[in-house]
Amino acid sequence: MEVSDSSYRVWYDPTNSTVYFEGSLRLGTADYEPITRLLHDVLAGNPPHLTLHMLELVFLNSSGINTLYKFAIALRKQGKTAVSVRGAASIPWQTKSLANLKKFLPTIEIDVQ
Amino acid sequence: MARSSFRTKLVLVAGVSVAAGLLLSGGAAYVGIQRLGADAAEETQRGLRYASTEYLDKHIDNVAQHLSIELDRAEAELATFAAIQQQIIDHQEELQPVLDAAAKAPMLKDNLVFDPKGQWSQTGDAEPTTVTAWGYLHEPPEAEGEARAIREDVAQAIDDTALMDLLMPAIGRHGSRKLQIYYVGPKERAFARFFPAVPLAQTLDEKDPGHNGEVFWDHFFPSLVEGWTSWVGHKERFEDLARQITFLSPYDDAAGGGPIITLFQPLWSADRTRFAGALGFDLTLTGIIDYVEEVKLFESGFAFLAQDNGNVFAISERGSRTLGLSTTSSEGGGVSRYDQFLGKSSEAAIRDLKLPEGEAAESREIVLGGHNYVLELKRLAPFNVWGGTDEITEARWVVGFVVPEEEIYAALAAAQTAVNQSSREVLVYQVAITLVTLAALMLWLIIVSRRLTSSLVALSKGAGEIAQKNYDVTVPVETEDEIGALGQVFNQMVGEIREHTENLEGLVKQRTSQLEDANAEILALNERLKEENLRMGAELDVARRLQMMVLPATSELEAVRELDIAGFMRPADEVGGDYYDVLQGSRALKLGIGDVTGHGLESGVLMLMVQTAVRTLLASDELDPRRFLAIINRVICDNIARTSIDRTLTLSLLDYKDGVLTLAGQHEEVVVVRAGGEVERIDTMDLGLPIGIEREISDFIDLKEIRLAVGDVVVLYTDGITEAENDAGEHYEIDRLCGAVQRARGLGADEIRDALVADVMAHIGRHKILDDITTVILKRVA
Repeated sequence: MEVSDSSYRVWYDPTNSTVYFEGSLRLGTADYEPITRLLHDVLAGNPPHLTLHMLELVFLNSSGINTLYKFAIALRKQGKTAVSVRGAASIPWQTKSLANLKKFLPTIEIDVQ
Repeated sequence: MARSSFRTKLVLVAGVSVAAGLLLSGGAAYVGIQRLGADAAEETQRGLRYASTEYLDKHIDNVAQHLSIELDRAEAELATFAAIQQQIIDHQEELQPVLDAAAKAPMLKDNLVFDPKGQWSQTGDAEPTTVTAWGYLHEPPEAEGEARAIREDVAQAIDDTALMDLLMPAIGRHGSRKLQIYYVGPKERAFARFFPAVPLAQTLDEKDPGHNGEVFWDHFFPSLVEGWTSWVGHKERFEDLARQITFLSPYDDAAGGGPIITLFQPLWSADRTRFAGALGFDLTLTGIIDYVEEVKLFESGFAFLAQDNGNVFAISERGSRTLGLSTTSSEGGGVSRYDQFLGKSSEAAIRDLKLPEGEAAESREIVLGGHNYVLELKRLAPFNVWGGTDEITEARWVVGFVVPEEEIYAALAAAQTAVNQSSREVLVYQVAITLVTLAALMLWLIIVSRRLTSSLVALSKGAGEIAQKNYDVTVPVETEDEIGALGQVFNQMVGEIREHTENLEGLVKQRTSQLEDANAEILALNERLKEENLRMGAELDVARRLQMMVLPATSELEAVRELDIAGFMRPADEVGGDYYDVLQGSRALKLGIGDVTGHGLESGVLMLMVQTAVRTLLASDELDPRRFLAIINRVICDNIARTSIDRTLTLSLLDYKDGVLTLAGQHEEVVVVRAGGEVERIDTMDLGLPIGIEREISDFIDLKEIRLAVGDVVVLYTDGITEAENDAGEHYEIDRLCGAVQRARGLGADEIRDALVADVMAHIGRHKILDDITTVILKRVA
């Protein structure tokens, strides 16, 4: 499973149950649909644990952040999969927005290096 | 003029090309033949040189062999004769009765008669051989004038050789051409026996008076016997007695026998210690000399035969002249010798000639009298020779061939002449062929060009007529080639020009109406395009207008007394859904700032909903900031659900009353620049959640109070400012915002806003504005 463009790449590696985000995402609201579908497809497999690897995602616009929030809410409703997020403190959008994920999904583990 | 010059050029170009081609090919053929001739000459010369050298080598070998055979035959005969005589000496005692008997046999008996005048004894003419006993072999006279008796031992010795009367005629008449064969006794009994019978004593008396008193050997061949005697004791000299045969130099026979050479073989006592006389042959050289002189080599080549001291004793007259030889005849011992020495030649090349030292034939190239000659030399087998001293040496004769080089290469010269002749002929043919071909071609070219140019001249004339605007011309088309086709096309074109000229007006009308039609079509299309464009732009226009129309008017902002407020919004091309508002409530001043996710009409609509909801709630006097925000969120959530608008927003709401700013809701940081210049950045992350995601967010809403003193400045903004990009993709960032406001903090809100916007725009430069740019500046003034 992979969604990609010249400026970004999002893919799921089932061997370590991790979704990798890479590059810079500046899509329009509706254009996040393939990524949303990828995340929900991963979730449909009810993995016991899921990591969102964002160390190489240098920019995510507000529509993308919105998508993440909604995925967090979906995870909370599902309630089975333990989720952790790996981010980097050096990337501005992450310091601001990853904290919100905890509010939408209190069980989420956030690891900002 | 034009006609003749074109034809001249055509003929000239073609003629020159053909001439050049012919001359080149002719030249190449001539050079080829010359080179071929040179190659062939070189090859022939090499072949001829090889063949001639080979021929001369073989020929000289043959001549040498022939001469050797001549001499070998004489040597063999002498050796046979000597062997018989040596046997007799070796077994004298045993054979004595036979010898005595032979001496008494009438046929063999030697009747020597004393000659008182010459003081010698000699046999008569009738005997098979002549025996001569000179004076010193006689007893002294018993009385003056009386006959002297031959010494007893000498008479015995003569008797012992009586058998030679049988042997000598047999050997003398057969085999090699011997002028004379003879036996001479040892020094103490040096009588002579000669065949054929000659009046020897008389001849010698006449030619060499006085010899009668001296021993034969000492007088005629002084030291020769000593030479032979010096061999005594050398065993190898006596293994084969035939090898003791000794040659004398060639000479002319004193008795008129022509050129001769004398061979001696010494005889020895049985114990080989004492000289016991010698057998001799006077071999006529006429045969050998004739043979050498008759050798024919090419045209004028000749042969010669020389001793190894360079004395040439066989050569033709012409040969002698060619080699520059001169005869220095010297008298000696009653015989005249040949003295034609190479070393005394008038030709330097011959004077300096070194005779070969090996066995093989040697070839030299020499110059004689200004001509080149090939000189071939070959040595004959070695033999003993006595040269007048007591030393007998080994000598070899040398055969020489002399051939003019030009005769050897006569074939080559002939071949070269032939090659030169034929290459001259080729040249002549080539020139003739070139001239004839050229003439024929020129003739043909002139005829053809006349035909060709006549058509072209007609065309040229026709074109001239057209230039004079006479469109009624036609040119005659006589041929079916390209020029004929050109004539046809020309006529056709003239027809078209004629037609066009006549119908020009009609044509213009027709074209104009066509253009009008096309223009109308283009205008219609343009209209349609405009409509399409409008339709596409309409949505964004609506969104932009919605967003801008709900912003507070300047008069509303100026109505606030304690605060100086300035707002700014510049929507991006695709409207971004930014929101700000300033509303005077019953108890406090309400300020809001927010940013809807996404772009376009839907974002604009959501922003409008938020604005309406805030205004409505303010009007209904909801005073609790937490509840205020929670209700707004619920309303928006419900409306999003109903309209299926996939958007959310960040929203901070602020209440101002009596110098205190109460902040609720999550949005960008709030920047406070104190009057003294200190900058405070207030994080709003813990003051709420994004609006429109969760219906119930009360638990997450928190409040923060900011006290403002007079002169303090508060900046509200959306991410359109902090994330504004330049061409390098760099964001404007909050630090720069803080700096810009800090610098301008002493100014009015409007000016601070203008300074900030100018700084942001300067950062963006010519880059596209990606998101709405919104800011609200508050400054407490009272």
